[in-house]
Amino acid sequence: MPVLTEAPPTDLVDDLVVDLDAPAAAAPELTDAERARLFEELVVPETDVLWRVALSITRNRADAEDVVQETLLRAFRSLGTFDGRYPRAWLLTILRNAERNRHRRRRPELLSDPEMAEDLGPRTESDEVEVSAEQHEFTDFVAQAVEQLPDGFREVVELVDINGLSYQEAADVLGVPIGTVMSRLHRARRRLREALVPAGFGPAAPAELPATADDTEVEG
Amino acid sequence: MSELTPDPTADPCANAHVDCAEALRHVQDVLDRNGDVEVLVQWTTHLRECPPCGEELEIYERITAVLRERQCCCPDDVSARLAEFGRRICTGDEPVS
Ligand SMILES: [Zn+2]
Repeated sequence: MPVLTEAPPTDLVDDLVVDLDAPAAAAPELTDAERARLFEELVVPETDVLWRVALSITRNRADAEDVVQETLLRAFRSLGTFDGRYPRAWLLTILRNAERNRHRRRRPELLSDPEMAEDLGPRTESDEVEVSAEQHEFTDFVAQAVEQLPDGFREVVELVDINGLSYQEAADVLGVPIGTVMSRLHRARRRLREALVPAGFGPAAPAELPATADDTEVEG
Repeated sequence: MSELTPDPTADPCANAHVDCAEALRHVQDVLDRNGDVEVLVQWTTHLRECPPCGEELEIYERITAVLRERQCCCPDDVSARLAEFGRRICTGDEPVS
């Protein structure tokens, strides 16, 4: 459930990250042992979340692992300037920068790798209790509809609805204002809901808000 | 407010046209419990008690429930490799800069 009150303002985090690129001499000196302890305490527990987020953004397991490794390195380097508050928000912002940098270095594969098909396919029977055929169909249908969303919409759905990030955390990862996250998320869910209608899931959606600029922004 | 249901006699929320349209605008806030608690309670009450609005809320709840189920875990081998990478950073075996 997204919680709005936990994360610090994005501009604060951006300031921290600006420090990342400052000369190393600007950072207060930590001993190797202190640095390792902070890394263990603040960074290591977030590794799995970082990987899931990286996978949502890169859509490729190998790239996701690269991005997380780069994030771990950058985090280790900037531990001296980090105040210890909201480690996840701090790490997600670092992850975003690491991912951007990767894009600059080399063009990513445009299509997802074959392994992704496996990730996004229906779950195996073994981890499910008895589920009706209709529920299976519904689940598959939603999964397909997510795949068909434009990237900007798909990303927020994966980050917030699938991976459980707060609005603010998703904003940190994507480098957009929190209002943009909310607007994209709401529009994305509305599209999913509308996509279900022709398949017979639910009545036609009631008429709603007019389109905003953000709609076209993510289509591009 | 746009006319959600032009025919009042066919509307189970006949006394609350405006509320329906307005409440439907807040379905996603209710879904995410986003916003002022008292205001949310007001929308939630309407959405739960009004059948057509309730149907709308339920379908969104069903979608988000399915999405939550799709969270994948970081596979053990990836987790182990990243943990090892972290250890190498701390011991200086991985060049940090
Ligand atoms: Zn209603």
